[in-house]
Amino acid sequence: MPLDSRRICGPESTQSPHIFTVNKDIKSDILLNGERKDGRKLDQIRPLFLRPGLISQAKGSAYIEQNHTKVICAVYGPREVMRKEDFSMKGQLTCEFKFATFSCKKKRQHQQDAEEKDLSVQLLEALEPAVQLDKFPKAQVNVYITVLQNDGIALAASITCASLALADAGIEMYDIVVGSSARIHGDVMLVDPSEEEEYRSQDCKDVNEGKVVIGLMPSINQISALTSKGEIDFETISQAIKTCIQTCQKVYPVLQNALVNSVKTKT
Amino acid sequence: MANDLKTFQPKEYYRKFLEKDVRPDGRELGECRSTVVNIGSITTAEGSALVKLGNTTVICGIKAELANPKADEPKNGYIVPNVELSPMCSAQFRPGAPGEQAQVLSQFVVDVLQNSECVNLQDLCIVSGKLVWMLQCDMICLDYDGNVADACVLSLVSALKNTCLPKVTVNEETQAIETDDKITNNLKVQTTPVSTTFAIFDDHFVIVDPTIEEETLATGIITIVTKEKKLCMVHKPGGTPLKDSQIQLCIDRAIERSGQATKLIDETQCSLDR
Amino acid sequence: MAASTICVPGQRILRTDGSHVAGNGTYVRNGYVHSTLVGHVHTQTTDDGKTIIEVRSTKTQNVVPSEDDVVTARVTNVNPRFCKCSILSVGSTKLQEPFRGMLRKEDVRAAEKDKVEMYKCYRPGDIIVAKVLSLGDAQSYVLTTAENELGVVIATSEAGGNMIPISWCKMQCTKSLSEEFRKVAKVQPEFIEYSDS
Repeated sequence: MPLDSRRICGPESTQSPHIFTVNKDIKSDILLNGERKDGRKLDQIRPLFLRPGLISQAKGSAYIEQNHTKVICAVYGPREVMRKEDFSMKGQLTCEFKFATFSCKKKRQHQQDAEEKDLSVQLLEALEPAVQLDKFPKAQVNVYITVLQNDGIALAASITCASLALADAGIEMYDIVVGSSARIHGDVMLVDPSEEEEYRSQDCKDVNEGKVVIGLMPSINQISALTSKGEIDFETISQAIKTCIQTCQKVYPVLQNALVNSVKTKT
Repeated sequence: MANDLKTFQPKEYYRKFLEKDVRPDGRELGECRSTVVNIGSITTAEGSALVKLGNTTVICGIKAELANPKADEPKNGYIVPNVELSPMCSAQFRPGAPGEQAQVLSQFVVDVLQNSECVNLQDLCIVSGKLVWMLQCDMICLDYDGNVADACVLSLVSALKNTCLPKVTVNEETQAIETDDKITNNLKVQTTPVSTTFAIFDDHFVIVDPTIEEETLATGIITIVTKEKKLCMVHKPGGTPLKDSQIQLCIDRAIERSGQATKLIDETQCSLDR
Repeated sequence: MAASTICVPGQRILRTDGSHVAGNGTYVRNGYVHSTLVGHVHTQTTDDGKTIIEVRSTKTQNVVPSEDDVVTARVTNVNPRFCKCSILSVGSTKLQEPFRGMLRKEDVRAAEKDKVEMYKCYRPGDIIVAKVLSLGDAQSYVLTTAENELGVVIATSEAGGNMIPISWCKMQCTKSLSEEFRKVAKVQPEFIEYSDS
């Protein structure tokens, strides 16, 4: 790790106290006697809290809370393109994804790491098809996402949160993008997985272990983003996509409601 | 055509209000914005607090890690505070390494911690010369509507008071580190430093808890840090010179504010414990 | 349709038939008018009997300068060939963040273009009303003030006082009574808004 001269630095090497925990619960299967550990049904999503428009300085903003997953998003623009080399006559959208240092069990770095960069791009690709870029030539819209706490489905929650913030900013869009995620574990499918249930590439070697994340534009019924990880056979994945679409459709009225309410309270 | 005094001649606009002893948002010159403290909402952090001063929002999360102490201070742990002015909190910040303002704020928070002796670093010792705690305190500004310094100090102190550390021991025979997550100890916070910021407008109006517009138009800023009714630190980076009487006025106001803020933290803390 | 209906982006408003036109804040897809914004649905009947469907956001509209827009800008930098300014509002909509604009010497006024002296027209800090000539390059929008109604509307003298126009090319300070040269805008009476205060 190179020394960061613009921040207050602590000692060079530190270790999380949790790696030394004695009598650790040996991590067994993600299901306990065929049931999810938090008592949910397989296709049950966690309660969702949404609030558009809470950052006063931003053009648009939104906060989403799904149990312990907490994501906040701010949208700025359309504004001038700062760097000359980024210039284009077409409108642009940029996304910046960041985990807060304290958002995960393991401490995160201040600088954006490879995972966060990857998630930024995935988020951008999910949102871009929905935004009418031709409405703001020569300018750009910036989307900033901070995950305050991650308890699974960080990307799916971010997609939902960002499109809510874009709508709050009054950026013209073809549709709202709703994100959702599912974990595939053998022949069961877990909707809206928590951090514990999320797929990690290192601990599953079997066939049909993985996850799917989609971004759906519900009213025009198109998928704007689809990513999957792990080894999943074709039938299972198409089943998983169907399940995710259903989840998105279930969540969509909540989003609509949140936006309509935000208009009502303003007037 | 937009012929708005606020847009094109903001200073004139403010002057018109201040001459009548009132601010555009309806506050009096010595009135703070409503303050909200929310403690312990982030469960992945060892301690956390969210503070709102009007619109200004700062969230502080503390991650505790194990580290080796410095050779010359074998019993002292580390507290590493950093203020993050992310591009999401205001249009004036860009992504990338922290700017000058963020660095100044981080250093200000370090000074406050050292001067107020808020946490005794020796309390963070596990085994002298071998193992100590490192508390990484990150204050992320979510909404930059002026007076972030006060919000940062308030969120940091609230988060420190909320910090719970698991019991860590070093096995004497094997020298292995053992953590027991089930037994946790609250961090001892000895004092409650509270900072109060004033903006000086037109060389003679002194206004407390400035918003972002007030901060950009101000000719000087003065921050006073108090702990338990005592003066702890005064930070006045240049700007308009002030008379003794004006500074005395600021200090009196800061002490009053300190009492209110301490009470607020304690009340929030109590409601959490129950 | 009642004016109080609130819709969200993507929401179907109605099926398009010959009598409806998709206005601002909407688009047409597969024979339906959809909304692109969060806001109230407004309908307006045109002279030829068609109904325009519009969605109006409660927030200030997102505007970017486009050709022929009248903008208000603050002069930031003046040199003999051009001056730079930051565009503060487009039409009557205030921008949240300024855009950079550039006003070249030959676009300052319509007559005697070659005799223009930049320093006798604009000074840094002046508030000007200008028109967008073109979207320009990566750096800035190109502005023009080559019309009687365009030019300086608010200026501060060297003595620091506000100035009032005394001719089309001169302004006088209210404090020191000194005169300074400016390309003054002839403010049209119909644009003056009277506020309550």
